[in-house]
Amino acid sequence: MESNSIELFIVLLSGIFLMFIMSGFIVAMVLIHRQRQVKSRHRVELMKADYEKTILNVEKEIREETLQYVSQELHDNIGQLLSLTKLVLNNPEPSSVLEGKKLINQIIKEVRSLSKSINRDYIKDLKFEDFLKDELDKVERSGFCKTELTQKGTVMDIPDENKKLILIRLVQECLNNAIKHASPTWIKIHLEHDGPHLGLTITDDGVGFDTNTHPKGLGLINLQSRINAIDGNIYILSEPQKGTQIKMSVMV
Amino acid sequence: MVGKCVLLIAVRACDAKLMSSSVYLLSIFLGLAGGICYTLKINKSYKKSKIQLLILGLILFVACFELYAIYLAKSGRHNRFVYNICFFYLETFLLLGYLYAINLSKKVRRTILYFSLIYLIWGITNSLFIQDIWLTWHNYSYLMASLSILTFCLVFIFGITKNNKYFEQPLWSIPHFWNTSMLLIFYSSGFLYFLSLDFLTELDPKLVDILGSFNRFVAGTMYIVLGFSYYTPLIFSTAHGK
Repeated sequence: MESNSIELFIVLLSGIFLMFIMSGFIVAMVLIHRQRQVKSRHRVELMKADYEKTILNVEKEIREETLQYVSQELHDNIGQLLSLTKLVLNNPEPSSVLEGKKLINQIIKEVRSLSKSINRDYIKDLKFEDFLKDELDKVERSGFCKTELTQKGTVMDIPDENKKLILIRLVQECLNNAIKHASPTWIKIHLEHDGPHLGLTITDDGVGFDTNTHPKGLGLINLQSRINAIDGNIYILSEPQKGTQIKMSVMV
Repeated sequence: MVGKCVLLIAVRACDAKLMSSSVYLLSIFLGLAGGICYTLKINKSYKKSKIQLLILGLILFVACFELYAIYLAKSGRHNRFVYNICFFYLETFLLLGYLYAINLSKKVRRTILYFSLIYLIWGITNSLFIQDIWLTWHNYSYLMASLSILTFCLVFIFGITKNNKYFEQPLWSIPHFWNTSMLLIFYSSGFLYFLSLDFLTELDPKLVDILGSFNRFVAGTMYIVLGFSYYTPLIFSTAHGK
């Protein structure tokens, strides 16, 4: 009886011991899972805050860029047209009235076009492809260099407004960099739509730069952090005197 | 001395009918009722799940064979073959099927399939050449079955944490977590009991009853949890998993 009870005790004890080990394992897994959930939520909140900050910055920069463009247009274009109209209307000849009317109509068109670019909703409603055309037109009109826009695949608009804003800002930044630092004779933008995937390549034949010596320039860091905010990728290929090619890809 | 104390407590618990056969059966039927209510009322409007039906089928199957085994025992006939066929083999296959359905890793699924095949071949070999299926407990087979179920449950629970599954919900709102946890507890405590069944027959029947009572207590709890586990998303889930 004594040996039986010891054997039974061993069986019971081993069973209970194993049961406790398994229970401990389950509790440990619950705690680890909970801890990871909390960490992950914290990370997601940080990413959200970062994303919102990026959007705010982008909106601010677009506004500043637009104001700068409007001021330039008022001074260089509308101001000049108004001065010209004044001169024409000062002329006592009857034909100058007709000429004046034509100029006033042109001024009205220019003012309308300017008012559109000030309106933030205009950018939201604008198709991405039309925005690219407008930006390249602006560069070409300024006489800075020749431009070309090519595209492949069915053109689709970008449904996410924030993504579109960030992409718009990225393109503006790339074009500004090319104009300020590269002195190119041409700039080409190639737009590629493949299902939800959007590819954008901006190429210029400017002075280029050594990507190894400027890997962490502020402009490049900005481009990288913005494309990261919309889960996209960016590749910069450049060599001194061989131009620059910037490839961006994002899921829209 | 310590052994005697534990035994004394266990004997008292047994005498008090902590988990007699009828209470054990009641637990199974309670789990079955919970599962049926969920399938008929809530499953329709909430989320249809074939896995839940598998669990319900499993409890129903257990209820049927336990009733049949009790009937045989009361008629004074051997019921070992019922436990050998239904508990050691068929229930194991059902549980392996359940673990196959909930484990999403292809590697684990393949391992479960291969193991099931090996277990089937081993079961036939054991029945024909090693242990008589009518008269002897198939405890070698049970050792294989319980170790494999324990392993696959451990893999499933570990995989949840490793692969960040169910990240939006707390773990206690996942039915499969409750099910696998109870399987872990039952098979870890039970496999020593079933493994030593032949040896235990030499013991005082009262002592065997104590072990059986303890085992039935864990098993009964497991079937209640299996039956009611699908209510947990309704009870614990919130929009942010808090």
